[in-house]
Amino acid sequence: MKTDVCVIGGGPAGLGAVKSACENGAKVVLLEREYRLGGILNQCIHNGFGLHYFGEELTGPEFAQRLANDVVNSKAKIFLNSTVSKVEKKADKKMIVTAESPEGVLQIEAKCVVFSAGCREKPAAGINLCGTRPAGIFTAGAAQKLVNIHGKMVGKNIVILGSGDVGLIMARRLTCEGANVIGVYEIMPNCGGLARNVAQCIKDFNIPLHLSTSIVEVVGKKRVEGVYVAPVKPDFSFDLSKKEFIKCDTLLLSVGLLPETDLLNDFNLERSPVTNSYAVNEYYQTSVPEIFICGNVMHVNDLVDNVTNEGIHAGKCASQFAKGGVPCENKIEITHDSHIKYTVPKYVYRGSGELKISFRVDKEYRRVMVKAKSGGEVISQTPHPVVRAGEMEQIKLDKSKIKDDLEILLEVI
Amino acid sequence: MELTCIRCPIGCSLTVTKNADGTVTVTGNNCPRGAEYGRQEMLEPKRTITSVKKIKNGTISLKTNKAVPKEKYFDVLKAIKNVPEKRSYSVGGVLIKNVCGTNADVVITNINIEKF
Repeated sequence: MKTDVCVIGGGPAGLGAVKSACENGAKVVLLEREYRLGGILNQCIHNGFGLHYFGEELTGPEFAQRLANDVVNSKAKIFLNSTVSKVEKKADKKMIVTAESPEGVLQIEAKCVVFSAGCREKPAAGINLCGTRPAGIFTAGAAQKLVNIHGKMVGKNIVILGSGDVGLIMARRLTCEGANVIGVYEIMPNCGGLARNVAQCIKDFNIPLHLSTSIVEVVGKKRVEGVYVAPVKPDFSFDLSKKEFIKCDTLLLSVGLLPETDLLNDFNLERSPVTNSYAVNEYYQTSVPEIFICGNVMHVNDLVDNVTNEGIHAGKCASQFAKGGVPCENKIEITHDSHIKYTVPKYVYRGSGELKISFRVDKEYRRVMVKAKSGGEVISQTPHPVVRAGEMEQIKLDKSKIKDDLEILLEVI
Repeated sequence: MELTCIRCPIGCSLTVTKNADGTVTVTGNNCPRGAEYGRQEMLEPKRTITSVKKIKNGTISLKTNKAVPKEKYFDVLKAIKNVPEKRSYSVGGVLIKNVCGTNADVVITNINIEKF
């Protein structure tokens, strides 16, 4: 089957990409491994999605259905239950995407690929968690799927390691299902999730949140019997003199997400070490021009609204690429100071129009000015009352003001 | 009262005070929604409740279509658990009307079928 754009993954990023690529006149194929569209949104039954994108508060499934309706009514060819096994580039620059589907093996020949495969959760081995590996250790997202989709409970007395948003939301969810959530333990001195989730998931239910504290050992043979926790010193070593045993039967891990880039491993794309994914230019195009990425596989987002917008941008650029190409002269690398951990995109091209730059900071700062400098001049400055490590920030620039360089700086006022 | 606004992901830090004349002053908010949240939280805290109910061959995801008083949180969850099986469900359909006398309806947001 031949197409202009092949989108891999039908979550919010992929759905955004399909929608905009279709609207821009491209022939689009969407490959989704689940039996329905929407991705992880289907298991995020809580509300608070869509305030930016739809202008109202929705639950995850409602957000997914709205996006999916647009896509189902578009001209895109959608394959469900179809797992991509291979992505290749032929000598004539055509992309070949192979997928296992209920109808057999699919081969899609596309002018370009939008890769929107999302993330996987970091497992116990990913954080060198010490101790045994009995039953009862779940990643927070896996527990969320069991409880919210399958209606199965994961345990009775639960400890949560990591204060990412999924961990906080599961603390509330499990409490509502009758479990005793003993506490949420976070190795860092600051909470990993959004402030509002601390308020409505943790404080509302009087769940203890222990910062600068982590698990030193898991105990249990067949089932989790408990965990040893200890305070973490500023150099991240444990203060074992204050080690304490917590009896529990279940441990949830909410310790970070890793972009699921495996299918693109063979391309040796330029990596972005901070995001664990690939470096992209302003079109969300990787170092192989036929491969675009967006959403959580590009960098882990906090808000599905941003994920969707990234998909829409990537889909639009991919359709433009398929039609003849995107302008790519005078490439500039965006640099930044040490307060900023990374920027998306990493590269821009001189030209005109609006440029959106997303970035994350290394810790919390209050009352800062985000400045963009080019050719020795400040071309934009945006005040932010507060920036936090757990929350992605965005600035918008007028591209025509960019000269031969671009530097993003954070200045405390 | 020091609060974190939950009306959007920014999570503004609010300071809410109840004045002698019964009015409420909210500071720290960056938008009118924050002021509204601060006032509501001082007078009668409310939450939108979401939950899941097991059905014969899967689950349904649910929400209250309005925020309900916080003290009714576990009553609403109990009402959801206790409502008898229906013959059919549809997304957007009402499972419980005026749940626990809150004037809010429990609405179906998704259907997850295990076997099909």
